[in-house]
Amino acid sequence: MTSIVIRRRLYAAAFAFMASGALATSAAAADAYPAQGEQAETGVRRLSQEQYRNIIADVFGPTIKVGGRFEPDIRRDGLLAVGASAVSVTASGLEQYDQIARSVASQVVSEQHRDALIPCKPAKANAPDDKCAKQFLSEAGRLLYRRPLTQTELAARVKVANDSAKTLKNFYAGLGNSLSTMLVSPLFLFRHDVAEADPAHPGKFRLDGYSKASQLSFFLWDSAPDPVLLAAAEKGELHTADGLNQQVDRMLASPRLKSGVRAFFTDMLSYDLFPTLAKDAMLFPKYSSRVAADAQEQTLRTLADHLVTRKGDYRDIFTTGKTFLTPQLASIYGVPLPTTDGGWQPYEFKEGDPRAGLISQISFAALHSHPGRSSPTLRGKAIRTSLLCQKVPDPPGNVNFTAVQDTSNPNLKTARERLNAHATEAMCTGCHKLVDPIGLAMETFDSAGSFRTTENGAQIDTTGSLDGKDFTDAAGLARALHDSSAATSCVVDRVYAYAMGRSPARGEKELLDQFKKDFAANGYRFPDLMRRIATSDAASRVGQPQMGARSSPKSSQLASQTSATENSQ
Amino acid sequence: MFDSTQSGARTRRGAKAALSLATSLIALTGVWASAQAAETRSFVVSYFYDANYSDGKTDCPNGMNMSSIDFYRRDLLRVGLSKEKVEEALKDFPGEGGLSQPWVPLVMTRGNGKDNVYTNPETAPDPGLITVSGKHSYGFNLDGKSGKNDFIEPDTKQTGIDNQMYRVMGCVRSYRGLPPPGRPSLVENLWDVLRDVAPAWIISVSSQDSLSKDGDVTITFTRALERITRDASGAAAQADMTYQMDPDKRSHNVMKGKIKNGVVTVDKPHEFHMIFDPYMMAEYNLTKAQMRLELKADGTARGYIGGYLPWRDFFYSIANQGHIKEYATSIDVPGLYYALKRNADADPDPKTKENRRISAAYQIEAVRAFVVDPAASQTADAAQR
Repeated sequence: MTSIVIRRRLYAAAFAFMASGALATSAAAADAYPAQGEQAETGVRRLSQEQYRNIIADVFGPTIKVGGRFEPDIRRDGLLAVGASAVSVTASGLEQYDQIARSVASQVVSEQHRDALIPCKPAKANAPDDKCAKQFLSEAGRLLYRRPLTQTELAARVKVANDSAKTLKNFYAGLGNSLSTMLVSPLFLFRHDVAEADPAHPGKFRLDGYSKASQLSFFLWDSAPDPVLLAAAEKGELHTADGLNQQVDRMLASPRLKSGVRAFFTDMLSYDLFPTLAKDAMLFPKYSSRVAADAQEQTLRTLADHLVTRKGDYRDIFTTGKTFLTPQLASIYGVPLPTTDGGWQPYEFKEGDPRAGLISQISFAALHSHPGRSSPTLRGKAIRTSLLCQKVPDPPGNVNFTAVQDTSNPNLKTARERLNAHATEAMCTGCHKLVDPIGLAMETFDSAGSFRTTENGAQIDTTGSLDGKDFTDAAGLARALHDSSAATSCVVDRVYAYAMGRSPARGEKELLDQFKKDFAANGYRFPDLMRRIATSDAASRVGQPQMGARSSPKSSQLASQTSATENSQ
Repeated sequence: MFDSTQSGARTRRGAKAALSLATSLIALTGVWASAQAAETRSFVVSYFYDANYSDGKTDCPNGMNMSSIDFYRRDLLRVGLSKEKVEEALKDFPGEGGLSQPWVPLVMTRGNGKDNVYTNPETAPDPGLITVSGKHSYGFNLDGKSGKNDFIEPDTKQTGIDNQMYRVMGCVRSYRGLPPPGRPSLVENLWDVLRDVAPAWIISVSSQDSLSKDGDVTITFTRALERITRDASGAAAQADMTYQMDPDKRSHNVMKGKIKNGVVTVDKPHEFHMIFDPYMMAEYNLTKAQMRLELKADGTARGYIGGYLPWRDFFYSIANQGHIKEYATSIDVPGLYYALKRNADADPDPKTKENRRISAAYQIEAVRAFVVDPAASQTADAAQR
């Protein structure tokens, strides 16, 4: 069983910012360590930007705009979802969250939205109304915190609304102020895994119902639990096999599953790097920010269509010619695409076309290239690390890259020639043997993803091998990936880590091996893999929480600090 | 055919056209020629503008035409306004507020003091625009003759070039320009603005054989249903985008021609129609049109089209915006009227003997594109059913 790491210090750190700042002191006080019997937190994960946006859209509707910059995420073991367990909120980050929260709250209580989003009307618009405030805050709070608010929490929120409404002589402004404090609360910004004693297995612990609901929902839908799932959690249904299966089946059948699948691949394929990806407009005039957005969407759309809509074999993502294009993407692919509205069209690259599957798409070729030239090394490394879950060491700090970077050398016209010259240096040879033979197969795609057969007038040699399997071009490499057991093994490891928010532990090898066998037995159907993990005992089993953490001196000190701060307001 | 200055002229457009797909990337038309070796290359027009050869050395030895404030001052004094009144009217020239500016009603009626000179240019006397007296101009020998009013083509050295439009406009500062990397003219800038809102123009060159061989070709110049898409540089049209032919036949031009050493020319003069935008030119309606287009190895195409244009159409493309275009571009509208009338060189009116058309030429810059004929697709669909 995995040893439990108490993430309380992260919670406390975020709490400390709030407690020490003037921005949200009331919120901090309201969240001060709710007592829930024998329960204890076993981990926290900060919401991703997309999850934040999804929750706001789910709770308040898509017309509420979420602007501003979010705290940067950290990638751990190949996934941001794993890094989410290791990040806190910085002081400047909290300011950003506060700004976003105030913007969201003001929109929710605005004249445009209040009738639709607030379930009651105050007796007087220019005075507090605790009854109406309580109704709204308890309903919204349940969805935002992914569990019902405790009486203490709710009372504190209502008090914030009351005090603000009195001061501002405006019920809605007061309500908005209270809502904004909820949105900067660690209870909203962080997912909390709460453990409880498992009555069916004395001496063992499991996630409580609400934590389980969150785990399912963020895993399958990339958002907070909906009211149906929360109701199932409240009734304890998620602790029964039937109840759990029923909810997982419902969620897998929902169109929202595509959001979950897209979120997973956005993470696995490192699309967080796209905002900083640039191409030299003189060299690659077809590549633009629009193309960058479309390229990601193309891949995600293709994956969602293949894996969810068509329930296709995961391995075929490496070889399928079926995809979706916009006119701008078609321009780079060099294919005609008549459209009536300039939007997305289904498109299929025919058998034998150099475009085969994921690695031949612009998103992959462009993301793992330099601004002015392609990079067999970056592409090979991306295949090894992202798609095969293999480790590739970073280059040493004193490497001389001159030979590789000089694309104008008349004696080294192609990337293969330049890399051969570079890799003669002993310190470079080892890693390049790992990545270059596969990266060079993709040299027929330039830095922007356009197809080419020559570089500087010289024919490009795309022969290579992947773990003993020879190929002659990118399509051959794609076929080798399709047939690679490492590729299917990797995605199982990644999906499990993504769902759990942590890398698989050594003791879980047997469990993962079983998942992999089941994945193969089910024809490598991705939703079946998600179901298998979501309904596994491992997904809800936790080790023994360190119950003493709740009453640690530091925690007590923080609680006192927040109360004192609130009293001083 | 084209000198090195022009063939290296990508810099102003800020884009380097890369031949990424070599010969395999032949643009489509709706219907492929049946012969195995048949080839069609299609392009979208990135730029289309007056072909002026304003080298600044030999073209206007008599100087440039006046700026608008200067010819306004001249004309207002001529109609009898005192110097003080003229200066008072022009003291904030051009100012803001449109018609409320004091100089506007004065210059609008600077012919006889009451009629609008933009609709009645003959109410003002001919100021005598300075016209081009240099020897060189882009364009074509439209009449097959070589006379004293004809130019020499600067690249091909062909004589007898008819381009009286350039003669009239070439010494107006805003119309002076050169192909890239030379300076752009006003018209090029207008095209740059309008192409984002106007339909794209597409050219297809088809041969029953490979276009790398000399032989007969069919050239189609037509309007698209889509607008162009700019590339990342923002200056040129993005290559390899897909365009659908506008089924409206009014701007559908099909010309027979030849390709030799990669340069396409038409066999015989054609009528050419291009319904465009009133802000620049409502319609390019050319008679005896000729075309020369070089299909470049980098996938772009570059060349000229020329013919005889109704000079009044051009005049009203300027005059219809009244004082706004006149003051902004420093085109003396009554002066333009007289210059066009005086230099028109074709299509004499049977009664008045006055020429109604003027020779003109336009630059074409195009990038590779896919072109689909929706009508042909529909036909194919129907056949399949």
